[in-house]
Amino acid sequence: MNETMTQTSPSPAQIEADHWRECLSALVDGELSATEVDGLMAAIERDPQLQAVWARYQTIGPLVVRANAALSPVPAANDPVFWRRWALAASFVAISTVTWGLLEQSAPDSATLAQGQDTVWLSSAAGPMMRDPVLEELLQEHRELGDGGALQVSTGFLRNVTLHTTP
Amino acid sequence: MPHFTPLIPAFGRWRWARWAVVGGWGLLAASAVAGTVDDWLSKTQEATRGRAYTGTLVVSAGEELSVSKVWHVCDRTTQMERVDSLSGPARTTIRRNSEVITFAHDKKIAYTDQRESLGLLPMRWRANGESLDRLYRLREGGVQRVAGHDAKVVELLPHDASRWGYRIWTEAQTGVVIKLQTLDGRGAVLEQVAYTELQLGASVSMQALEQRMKNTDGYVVKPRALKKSTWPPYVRLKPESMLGFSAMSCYQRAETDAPALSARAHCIFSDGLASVSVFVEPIRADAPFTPTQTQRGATQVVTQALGPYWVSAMGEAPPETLQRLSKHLLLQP
Repeated sequence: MNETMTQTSPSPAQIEADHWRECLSALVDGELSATEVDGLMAAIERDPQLQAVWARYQTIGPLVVRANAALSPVPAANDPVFWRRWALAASFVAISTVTWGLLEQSAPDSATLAQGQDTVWLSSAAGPMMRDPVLEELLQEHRELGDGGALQVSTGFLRNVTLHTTP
Repeated sequence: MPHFTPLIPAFGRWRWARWAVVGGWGLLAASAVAGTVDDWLSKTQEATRGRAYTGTLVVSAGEELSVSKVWHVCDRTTQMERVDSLSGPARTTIRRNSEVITFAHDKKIAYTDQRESLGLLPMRWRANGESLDRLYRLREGGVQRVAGHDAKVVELLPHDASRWGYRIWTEAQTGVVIKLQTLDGRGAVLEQVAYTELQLGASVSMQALEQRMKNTDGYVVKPRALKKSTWPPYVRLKPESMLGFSAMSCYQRAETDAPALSARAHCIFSDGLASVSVFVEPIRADAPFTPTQTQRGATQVVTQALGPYWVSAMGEAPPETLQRLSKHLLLQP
């Protein structure tokens, strides 16, 4: 009886691991609070099992690296303390809830990954990605000067700045 | 005794009909108020005013993913935003109304710029003053949960195949845009801009943002090398022939730049929602071009030779629109 109990009762470590896995699911669903995300990111950093779950998302690797490497080195007036971890969280949520759907539409099986100078590129059945430096420059000018119309103030400017890829 | 004659008798089996008519008119009136694209866009723009919020913005364009941290604050006269890139090159961009500065942290360069399209005052969406309802129709969806907020869903769907459609989620109470998808003609998502985390009413100091904007110590300040120019003589300006797109403005490189670059004209067109840039420059023997058609998320790119010019059209519109705009635009010599 006792033996059975021992075998079936999860250890405190397992309970904690399960808890963080649930948090991971909640994160993907966009249901995790800022404080919980902070805790989850700390747990991922110290728990190899959670790291393995994280690593299952193959495409996230390079992008997370990018997100970490690109963090602003300049202290800023409004920087929140937990921001570094939010970068990971944002990448994770974005990859799992946004990009996957889009990748599925564009035949991910045929996708190949390439590492550019500053950007990670994917080429797929959806068509070649632009790497021509002249086109990149023109695209950047389009984003900066193109009239975003009625949505410019609400999302257009933020979208264009976020898409800034040229060095 | 009533002082009027009811249109429908208020008794017997007709009572239900009276209420049906009243209810029907009520529904029609409600849809008329909420149903115009122009009205909805005005409310959306108004929602950014007088508010402060911070959030994590994710742009998914094709297979490329970009993430940034956003701060927004606005009072009656000033709108300020700060965007810190978390993917791609490390950048901090701060905007005060139409004034924009971008700190390139790796290069220690601060690029300064004025963006005409970012004025605080309400603007007319279309250059010719026409309603956007002539190009798009509004379809209201339900309420969904996005980034921890209840959000109303609407779709702005094009009347023709010359432009993309949009599905937009706005926070139910404030009207702040939380998520925006650009849709192709079949309704497939081409691109998505979405907050994964949004804190409305966050404490954002406009004074701190202004100080950061002015603090260029350690950075070389570079004003934009482009200047607004007159329209090149080879450009045809007939809005009615351009699929609902109107000519907005034209830019050229400053003359201090390389002569080859200063010969390039950047003509901008908009239908009120979508934007198309057409770059025109003389074909040069020393700079071979290859005709291209490609895409990045909602942004399409079509480059081609037209007469003696190399024309690169790009924008958030179908490639067929870019093709037709390019060909309509240029007066053949």
